Amino acid sequence: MKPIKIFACFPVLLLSLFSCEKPERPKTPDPGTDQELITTLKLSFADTTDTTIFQFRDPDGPGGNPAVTDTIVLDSGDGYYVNIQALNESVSPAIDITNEILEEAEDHLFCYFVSGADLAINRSDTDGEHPIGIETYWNAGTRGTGAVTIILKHQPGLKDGTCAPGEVDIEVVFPVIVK
Amino acid sequence: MKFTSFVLFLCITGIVSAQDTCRLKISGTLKDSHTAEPLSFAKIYVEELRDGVLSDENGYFEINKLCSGSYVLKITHPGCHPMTRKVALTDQPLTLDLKLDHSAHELGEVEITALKKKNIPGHTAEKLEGAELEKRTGQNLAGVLSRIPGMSALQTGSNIAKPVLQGLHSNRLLILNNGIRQEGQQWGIEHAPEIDPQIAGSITVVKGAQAVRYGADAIGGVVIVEPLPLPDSSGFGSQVRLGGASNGRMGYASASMQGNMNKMANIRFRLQGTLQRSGNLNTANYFLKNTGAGEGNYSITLAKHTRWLESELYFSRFANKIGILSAAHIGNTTDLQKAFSLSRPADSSGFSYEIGRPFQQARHELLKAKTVVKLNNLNMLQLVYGRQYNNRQEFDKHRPRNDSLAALNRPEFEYKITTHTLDIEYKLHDHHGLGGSFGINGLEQLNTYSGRYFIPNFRNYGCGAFFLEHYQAGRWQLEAGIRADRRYLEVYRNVKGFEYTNYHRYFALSGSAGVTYRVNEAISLLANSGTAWRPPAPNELYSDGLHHGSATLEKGDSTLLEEKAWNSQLTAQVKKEKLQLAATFFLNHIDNFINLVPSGETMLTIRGAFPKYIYQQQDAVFKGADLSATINFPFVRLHLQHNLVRALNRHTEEHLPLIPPDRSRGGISWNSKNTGKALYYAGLYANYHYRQSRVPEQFLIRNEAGTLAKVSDFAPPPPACTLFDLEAGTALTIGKTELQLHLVIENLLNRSYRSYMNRFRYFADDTGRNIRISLSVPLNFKSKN
Repeated sequence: MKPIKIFACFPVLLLSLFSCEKPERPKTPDPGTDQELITTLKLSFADTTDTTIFQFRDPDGPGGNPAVTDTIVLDSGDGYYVNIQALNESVSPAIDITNEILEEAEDHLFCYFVSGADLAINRSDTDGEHPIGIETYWNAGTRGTGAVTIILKHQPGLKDGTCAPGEVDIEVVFPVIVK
Repeated sequence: MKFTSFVLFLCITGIVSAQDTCRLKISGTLKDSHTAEPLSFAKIYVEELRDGVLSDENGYFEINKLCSGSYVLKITHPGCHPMTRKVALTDQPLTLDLKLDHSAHELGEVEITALKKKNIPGHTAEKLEGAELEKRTGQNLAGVLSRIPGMSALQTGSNIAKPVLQGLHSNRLLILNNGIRQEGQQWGIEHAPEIDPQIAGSITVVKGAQAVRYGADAIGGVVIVEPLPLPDSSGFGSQVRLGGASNGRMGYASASMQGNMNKMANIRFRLQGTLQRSGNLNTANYFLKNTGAGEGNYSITLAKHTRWLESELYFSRFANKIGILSAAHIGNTTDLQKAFSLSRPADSSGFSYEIGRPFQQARHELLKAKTVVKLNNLNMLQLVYGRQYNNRQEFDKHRPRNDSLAALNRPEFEYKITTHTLDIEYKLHDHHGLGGSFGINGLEQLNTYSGRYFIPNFRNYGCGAFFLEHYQAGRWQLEAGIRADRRYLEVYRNVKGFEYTNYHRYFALSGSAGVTYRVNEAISLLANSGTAWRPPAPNELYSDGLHHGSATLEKGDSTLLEEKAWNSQLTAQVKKEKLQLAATFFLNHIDNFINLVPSGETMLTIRGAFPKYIYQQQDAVFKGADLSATINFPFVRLHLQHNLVRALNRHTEEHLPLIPPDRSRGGISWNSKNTGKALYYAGLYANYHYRQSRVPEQFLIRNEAGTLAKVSDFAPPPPACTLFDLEAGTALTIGKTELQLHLVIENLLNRSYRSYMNRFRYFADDTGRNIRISLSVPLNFKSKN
C-alpha cells in the first residue's frame, strides 16, 4: 500500500515543485472589520428628572453569541425626549454610525411601530423635507405592556416620508412596560 | 450437413497445419474521401483477432499471418466517421483501397432518433451531439441537458441553473470541462457551472458512480463536455451561429474557426468566441425586474500531431453578469412573510436590458496542456495539466450607507479560487478483448475571499491513484476498477485578530464493477455498482453568516465527516427498428449525507430575525427510475418518458428537501426522409410536472419578535402543471454548405406556473412562452496546396 500512496502523490509533488516558494499564508481579513456593520442600537430617554438608556446589543455581529435586547420601562403619564444612536461595537474604539446617517439624512428614515402598549411616538427632526427619526418624543399613556418595533430604512433617492420604500438597515423589537 | 462437416474438417486441418494456410495478408491504404490525402495513424481493428494495427504516415497498413476466412475490419480515425468492412480471404492476399469520410468541420445530419450512446460497460451514457446539441444552442448547460432522461435542473430564476442527475447536483455531480474537472464555488445552489455549451461538440452524461476514474465528487455521475476533435486533414473551416429567444429578448452570436496547417509543421488550431445578451425575463403575465444577463466567452486551441506525440494547448475564458430578481434577496423573516403573501413581486417593471443590484459576476479561466505519447505497442501515455482561475462576485441589494463607499461599487462577497490539476494515465491497448488503464491524479487549490466573511481562505491538496480493467468476450463486456484518494485541507481563520489554521485529512478507497450483456442484436442489459465519496466542502465546515440570497443564517460544522456512497444502476435497453426502450433503475446509498436544515431557531440580528440553518449529517438513500420509449409508426414517432426520484433520510425516513418531483413527457414527432437536399423534422410534446408531495415536515415556530415563522420551507411546493413545447428544424444544403435552422418553443401556451426546483418560486411565477431560434452555418475552405 505504501508505495502506491507515495506514487499517488507524485502529481501533487510535481505541482508543488512548480510553485518553488513555500506556499505563504493568504491574507485573512478579520471578519469583524466590516465598516458597515451596526451592532448596537442605543436609546436615551430624557424626561424632566433623569436620563435612562435602553439598548439592543449584538457586539459579535450576526451569528455567534445571541443578541441582548433591553426591555423599555416607562412611567405612565410621562413624556420623554428620545435620542437614538447606532454603533458598531465589534471594533474598538466603537464607530458611531449615527453621524453617517445624519450626513445622508435624505436617504434614511427611522420608523416606529407600537403594538399593545398605550404609547405615542412622534419624530421631531427633519432633513428639510421629511422627518428623520433620530430625535423623537414619546408619550406614555396608561399602564400596560406591549412592544415597539424600530426600523431604519435606507431609501436612497426613494424617500417619501413613509416606511414603504428602501431596505431595512435596522429592525429591532423592544418589549415595553408602562408602569 | 455435409458442408458443415467439410468446413469443420478444414478448420481442424487448418489448426493442425496452421503454417500452410495462415500466411495470408490484408493490406491497403486509407485516404480522406474528400481530399484524397492519406490518413496516417488510423487504427484498423480486426474483430476476429481482437487486435489491430496502425496505418503509417502514408496511410498504408498491413495485417499478416492471417488464415483464410472472413474478417470484420473496424477502421477508426479521429475526426472521421468510423468504417466497418467485411472481407473474405480465400487463398490470395487482399489489398484494399479505403476512403474515410472526413471533413474539416463536422455538423452531422439532422438526427431525430434517440440520443446516441457511448460505451462504458454497465453504465448508461447519454450523448448529445450534432443536431440534438445544435437545437439547444443559446441555453445554459443545465438547459441543454434537461431533456436527457434522469436529468433535471435546480434553478434560481431562468438565468441561473445547475444540472441535476437522479436528484444529485453541485458537489455530487462532477462536470468535466474539456477533460479537466470544473472547480469553482460549485457548492453554491445559485452558482451555475461557468461553462459555455457552445465550446462543445458533444456533451455526455454518464450515470452511476464514476469515482474510480475521476476521484471525489462523482457520486451521481459525471457530465463530460468535449469539443469536436480538430481536423486531421489540411484545410480550414469555420462556423457561425446566430440565434435568439423571445423571452428576455435574448440574442447570441458565436463564431469558430479551425484548421490544419499540414504544411506548417502539422499544427492544428481552433479559435472560438460567444457573445450573449438578454434583458428582463417575463412570466405569463408580468416582467421580472432585474433579470437580465450578459455573457462573453472565448477559447483557443492549438495542437500538434506527430507519429509519436499528440499535444494540445487549450485556453478558455468565461465571463458573465447575471441580474437577480430584487424580491429574491430577502430581508428578514418579516419581509419573508410579506413576500409570500404577495402573488407577484411588489416591484413591477417593464422590459429593460439594464442589470442593477443585486447581481452576480463570474469569471472562469481554464488553461489545459495535454500530451499523448503513442507507444509502439499501441499503448498510450497521457499527461494532462490544468490550471483554473475562478472569480465570483456577489453584489447585494443592500448598498453601503456611506455614499462615497457606495460609489466604489464593491461586491459584498468576492471569492477567488485557483486550481492546478495534473493527471497521468497509461492506457493499455485492447488485446484479445482485455484492456484498461491506470493512472494518478493530483490537485492543488487556493481560495481567498474579500468583503464580508462567509467561507474561509483555504488550501486544498488531493491525490489519487486508480486502476481500471475492461474485458470483452462475445456478448459480455465487463469493467472493474479500484482507486485510492487522499485529501488534505488547510483552513485559515481569523477570529478577533488571532490567526489560526485548521487541518482536515481524508482518505478513501473506491471500487466499481460494471457489466453489459448483449442478449441479442436488439436487447442489452447493463448493470453497475460502485462506491464514491466526497469530502465536506469548506462552506459545510466553516460557513458563518448571513446568506442574503436565501435570507438564512448559515453555520458550518467543522466536525463533519466525508460522505461515502454506494451507487447501483440497472438498465434494460431495446433497440429495434420500430421500438426503442430504455429503463434505468438506480439505488444510491449515501452514508454521512450532509444537508443544510433549519435548526428551528431564528437568530436575532440588528437587521431583524433570520432563520438559522445548520449542517447535519445522516445516512440517506436516493432511488428511482428513468424510463423512456420511442415507437415508430409509418409516418410519425411516439415518444414517452417518465422520471422519478425518491430521496430519504435513512434514519428518520423523512424525505429530503429540494428533490425533483416526478416528471412525465409524451410527444409525437415527424421527420422527412432524406429527399433531395433538405431534411425536416417537427415535434410536439407535453410535459407533466407532478406536485412534489414528498417534502420534509413543515413546522411553525415563534421567534423572539413574537411573530410566527414557517421554518422547514418558506412556502409549500407549487401545484402540478402541464407545459407544452414544440420543436421544428431543417438542414439545408446550399452548394457545399449545410445550414441548420432550429426552432424550439417552450411553454407553448404561455401557462403561468411555479416549479419546486426554482428558488424564485417564493416570489414569482416561472417564465412564460419562449420562442428560440438558432441558425448555424458551417463554412469549409479547401486546403491550399
